[in-house]
Amino acid sequence: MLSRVANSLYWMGRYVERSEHLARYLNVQYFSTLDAPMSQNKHFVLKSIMNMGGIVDKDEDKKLSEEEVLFKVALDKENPYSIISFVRAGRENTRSIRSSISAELWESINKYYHFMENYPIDVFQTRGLYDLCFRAIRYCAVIRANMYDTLIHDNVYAMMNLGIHLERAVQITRILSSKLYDIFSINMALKDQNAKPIENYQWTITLKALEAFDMYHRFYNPPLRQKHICEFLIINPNFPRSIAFNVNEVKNYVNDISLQKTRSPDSLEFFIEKNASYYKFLDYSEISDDLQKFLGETLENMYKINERIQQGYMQL
Amino acid sequence: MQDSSTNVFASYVTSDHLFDEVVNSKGQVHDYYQNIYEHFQSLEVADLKLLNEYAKLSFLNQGITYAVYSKNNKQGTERIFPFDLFPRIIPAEEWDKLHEGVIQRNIALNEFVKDVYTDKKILKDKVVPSELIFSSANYCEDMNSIMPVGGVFCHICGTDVIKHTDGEFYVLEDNLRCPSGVSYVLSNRVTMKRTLSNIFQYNHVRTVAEYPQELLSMLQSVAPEAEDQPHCVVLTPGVYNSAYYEHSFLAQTMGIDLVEGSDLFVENNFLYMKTIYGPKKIDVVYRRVDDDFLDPLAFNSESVLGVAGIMSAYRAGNVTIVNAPGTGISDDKAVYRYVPDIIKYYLNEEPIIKNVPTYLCEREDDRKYVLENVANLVVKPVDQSGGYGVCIGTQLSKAEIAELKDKIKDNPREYIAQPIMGLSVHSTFIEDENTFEPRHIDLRTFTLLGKNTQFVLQGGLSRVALKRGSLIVNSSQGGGSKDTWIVES
Repeated sequence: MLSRVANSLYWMGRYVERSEHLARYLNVQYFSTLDAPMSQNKHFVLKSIMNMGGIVDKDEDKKLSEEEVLFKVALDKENPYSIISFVRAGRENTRSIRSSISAELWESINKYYHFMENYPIDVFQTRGLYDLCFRAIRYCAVIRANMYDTLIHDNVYAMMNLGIHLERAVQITRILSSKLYDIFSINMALKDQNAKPIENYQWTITLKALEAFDMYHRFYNPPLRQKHICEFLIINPNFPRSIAFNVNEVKNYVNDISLQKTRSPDSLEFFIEKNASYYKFLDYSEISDDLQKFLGETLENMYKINERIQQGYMQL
Repeated sequence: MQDSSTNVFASYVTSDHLFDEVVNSKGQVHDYYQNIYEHFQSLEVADLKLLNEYAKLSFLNQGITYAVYSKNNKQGTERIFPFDLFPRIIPAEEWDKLHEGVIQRNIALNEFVKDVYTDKKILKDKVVPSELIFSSANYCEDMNSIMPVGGVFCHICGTDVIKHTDGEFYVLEDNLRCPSGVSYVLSNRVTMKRTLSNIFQYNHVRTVAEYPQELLSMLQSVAPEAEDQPHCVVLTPGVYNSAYYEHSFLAQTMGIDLVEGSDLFVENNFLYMKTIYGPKKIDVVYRRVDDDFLDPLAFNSESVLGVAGIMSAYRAGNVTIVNAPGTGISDDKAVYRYVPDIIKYYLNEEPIIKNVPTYLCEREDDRKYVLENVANLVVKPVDQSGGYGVCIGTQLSKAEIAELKDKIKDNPREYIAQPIMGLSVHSTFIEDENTFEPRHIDLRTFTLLGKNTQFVLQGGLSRVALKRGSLIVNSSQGGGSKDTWIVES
């Protein structure tokens, strides 16, 4: 496989996954405001959406309106962190490697792109938010199904999945971190009042934004507890939306691609095995004191893996 | 033709001074069009519109688009190459003559290129004036004394033919550099089968599906020797090139890698591509990058689309470039005039397909004639393609004619002129009008020359000028295409 093709496959996976997470986050977070407990105010939610969408409010006095924020996060082509920009980047990467993949997979990504590109902005801003996000998520599901069902499960397939699972680990980490921060701010603002209902509300949003709500309830009984939620989303080895699960997938796909049978300590394979082992044998008590620090280090780790993958396979 | 209010042919007007492919001068539909004509006649306008929309969506979802860039839109707008549902039919016996003709023509042109870069006999014998060759922008000094595998320079040839009012085929131009469009032939057929599957059963249409395999066999046949399984690749300028779809389509259907210049490097006069497991040697490059950008060491030093050193690997015989650099000397529109002489010179045969009479503005007599008759001629720049710069005398204003005359006087080598050919017309579905109307068409044929092998794609790309009265069929200028059927009689 050409190094450039590897690079495009990897980034195609990353961008498609990234677009899906942002669509889900936007959808869940926005609709949470409509029937939220009192202090879950709109400004707070918009701030959280802007934070995930990488938008910096330059002028504190001139606050962005709700419509502006929603547009910037979803359909603004000028914003490189919008859903549409991710889809475009994913599709452009796929376009440059379409001779390596199936027509079915290419068409599903191409359709996703045309769907975003042609979505009327006024409809989105007034009544289309749910529709747009929901369908974006569906397109991503179809794309992954076409990857699984129409490709040879060889190094092309592995390279795409490498991108998907690394990106998913990053997004889970970011969403968790952002939500912990939200809960922290709520507690600060409410001081001595009872923050529990709002805290629970935030955890519900977190689980829903990661499509983890139902499975969490199958695994743990109510009530919602921070310890259980974090255990579930960080350490659970069998749930596809946990960090440990995805780090392990990254390891598996690197092994599929690798030709090296022995592992020298400075090799990519060694680094990734060691990293995956850390999450595999992690106990919640080791990280519960400072979750934000742990999540920060996890992000650092993911960035390092990204760097090593690029060095190992994609030296252009 | 029948007349009824819902009939999609109701307003079809034939013209006395144009050759209609579907209808003869008495208004009767040709035998070989009868089945398809009846089929369309049985459809309501709404059915046709639906089929038309379905075909368009099929192209969009498959990503069969080309990009048009402008100052205000650097991301480019993606457009579908317009496709017309009414196929162009050529009876097999008429086609077979054309088939012979394009092979003859392209073999002769290949001999010509070989001769020019080696012995230069035809120039010494003054059959073709040597100034014409050495002054051509496409003449490639670096090609002198290089002999590619099998003596093949022009591996892939696109010969554009038209049918004139006299009902005869004429060659309009030769394309011997990177002729494009073949992917549309294959995609058009697929779309046609999807949308109008039922009409295929009445007609024995020759297949076009074998082209990718034939192309790959040709590429393998010209690999440097001593290779069991030659490694062939398609070289593209990249995803922003307007023909990118075709590049990836060809690579995919041949099952070979699509590479960009930055994927390749030359070491010890061998060409390699960079893979995730290290370098891999390449034997044959089907390049869709122009000569000028092929090698920054040999040609345009600012090019990032090519590979530094590929020309020296080529000269050493370690890699084959398809088509060879420098073949542009033979599709120069001024050289076109000499093609009948070239055919006689190398093959000792009469040309099978006619040439359009051509005036070279460089020659004094010709120039005088052209300047006096500009208003009734087509003037073309010699080294451009895509229909750019073509001026049709009858469509120019007085000021434009004066301007054109000045241009010709300033730079006579740059221009040729030809009589305005009456390109044949063909029924074409016009979206805005919801009826079939006659539109001008041409035909691009595709010939492959390998080591001792020749292949012609059965049919080719029928291009149609969608603007009423327009003679320019190129996609960049509002042209569309039709599926082309070679039908056994």
